[in-house]
Amino acid sequence: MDIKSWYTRIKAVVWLTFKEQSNWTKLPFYITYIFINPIFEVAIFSYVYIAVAYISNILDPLNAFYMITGVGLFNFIGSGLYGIIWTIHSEREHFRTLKYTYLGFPNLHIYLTSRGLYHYILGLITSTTMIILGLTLTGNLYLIDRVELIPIFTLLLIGVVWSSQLGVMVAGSSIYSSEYGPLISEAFGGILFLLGAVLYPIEVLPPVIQPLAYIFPTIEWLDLMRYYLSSQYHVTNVDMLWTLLLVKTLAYVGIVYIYFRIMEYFVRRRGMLEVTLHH
Amino acid sequence: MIKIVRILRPAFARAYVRIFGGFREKSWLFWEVILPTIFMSSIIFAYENLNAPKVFIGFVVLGTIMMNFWYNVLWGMGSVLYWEKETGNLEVYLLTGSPLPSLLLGMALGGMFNTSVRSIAMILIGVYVFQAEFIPAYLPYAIAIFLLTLFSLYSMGMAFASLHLIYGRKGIRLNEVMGEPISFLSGQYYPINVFPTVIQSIASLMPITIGLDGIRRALILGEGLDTLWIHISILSIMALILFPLGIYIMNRIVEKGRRDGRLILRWI
Repeated sequence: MDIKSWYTRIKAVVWLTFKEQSNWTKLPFYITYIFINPIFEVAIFSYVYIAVAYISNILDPLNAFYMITGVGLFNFIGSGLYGIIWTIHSEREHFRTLKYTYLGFPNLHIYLTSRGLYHYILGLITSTTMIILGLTLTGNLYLIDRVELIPIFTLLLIGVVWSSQLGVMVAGSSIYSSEYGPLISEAFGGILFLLGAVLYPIEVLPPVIQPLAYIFPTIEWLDLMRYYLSSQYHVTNVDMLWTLLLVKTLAYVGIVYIYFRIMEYFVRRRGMLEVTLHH
Repeated sequence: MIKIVRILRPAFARAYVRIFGGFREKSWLFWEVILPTIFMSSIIFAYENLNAPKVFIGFVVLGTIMMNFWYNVLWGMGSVLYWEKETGNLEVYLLTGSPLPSLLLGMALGGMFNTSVRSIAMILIGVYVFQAEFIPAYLPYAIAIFLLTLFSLYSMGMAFASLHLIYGRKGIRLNEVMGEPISFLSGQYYPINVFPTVIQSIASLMPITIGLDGIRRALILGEGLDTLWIHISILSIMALILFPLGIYIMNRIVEKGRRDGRLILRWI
């Protein structure tokens, strides 16, 4: 494998993503733009907590910590995930460049993963801002008392691996259907948010749908991240969480590789690469 | 009379296309109800986890529905002229000689109808799945406030649509940053009296905030005209200002676009 060539290609795709995202305005406006939604999103969830505290006089700092870190960290995962998923839709429907990408880049799977990298970099910055802002708004910043950088960065890397592969899987489905691509993308993000222990522990969910939550690595990933951020957040078995996370991540890498190859094969056979909503 | 017919006929024609387009693929209807419901469910479970009072379920259901209308204004009306331009339909519309505001009125009517159908389905899910409690006796007040809110919102949509003609891709980005901030300020998931006074004052400048607060007061807290007259008055004033303003902005921008030859210029 020619690592230098791949590095050049991936770097070019990250640069392309940056230009595509930002070339509609000047850099200061773009920077403001990327912070607006995450800041207001965390403000919304901070006020979900504050509203209950205000109306019911119930203060529960650990729940606030759970929710704010969940939303902030989900933003990191979601940024990359959506960045990958929407590449198919925007290149096929808006820019009409998907066919050229397919011809120009040696591997669509790696291309999509690379398109996500830029969003992960942005996500890291915005997520950090969200967590600090959200915990400050709810008065619980003191709960971040244990920032263990090595496990956190390891977890971030693992998060990039599993979530990017989930993104590629959804993009693989999207490539197959212009009608349902955007719906699949939205639904997937929503389901991950609902089942992923983002705002609440999965025990809050109805028992019927709880088993579905274990399909995704989100639970273990978020639990470990929270654990390495605060000494007051307890988990039952750290080693078990690491093991489950690694096993699930490896499983996703393998399954998504096969799934994407199958979808790509069918898309080519049926000539669906260029089929837009206007067909 | 002829002038009104000239405005209404293309409006109904455009609304017809939009309504039938929205039901063309039946499974879309299912997804368009389910998608916001998934997110709504997450918030309801979050409130359950926080042991919030039961009224919050109703707050979330109504907030999600009203935000659906806001998103329809942004994406179903605001950015539509941009996409019509990109796909080459805008020049066809302009050639027909129909006034552009009537085209937008048609989009608004079609969008309102489609979003209303989806909203009814969401209310049923809220009531039967999550046991949200509403007081049906106060429905007439809620409907009056709801219609006034929609009138103001879609008048704003007319102004947004014309801005999209000028700003193109920048307009799309503007749409993207008008989701979360409006959701936050309108009190989509909570009553706005939890905000500091300054934020409450800013939030009250938006019709969706006043409308949502009024509908909640009527349907959840069972308040009558003695308190809701304030909401109705404010929304009426907003409607009286925003509708002519929307028409004015639209006409000015179309006129400017014609003069500068940029009206059907793509990729800006």
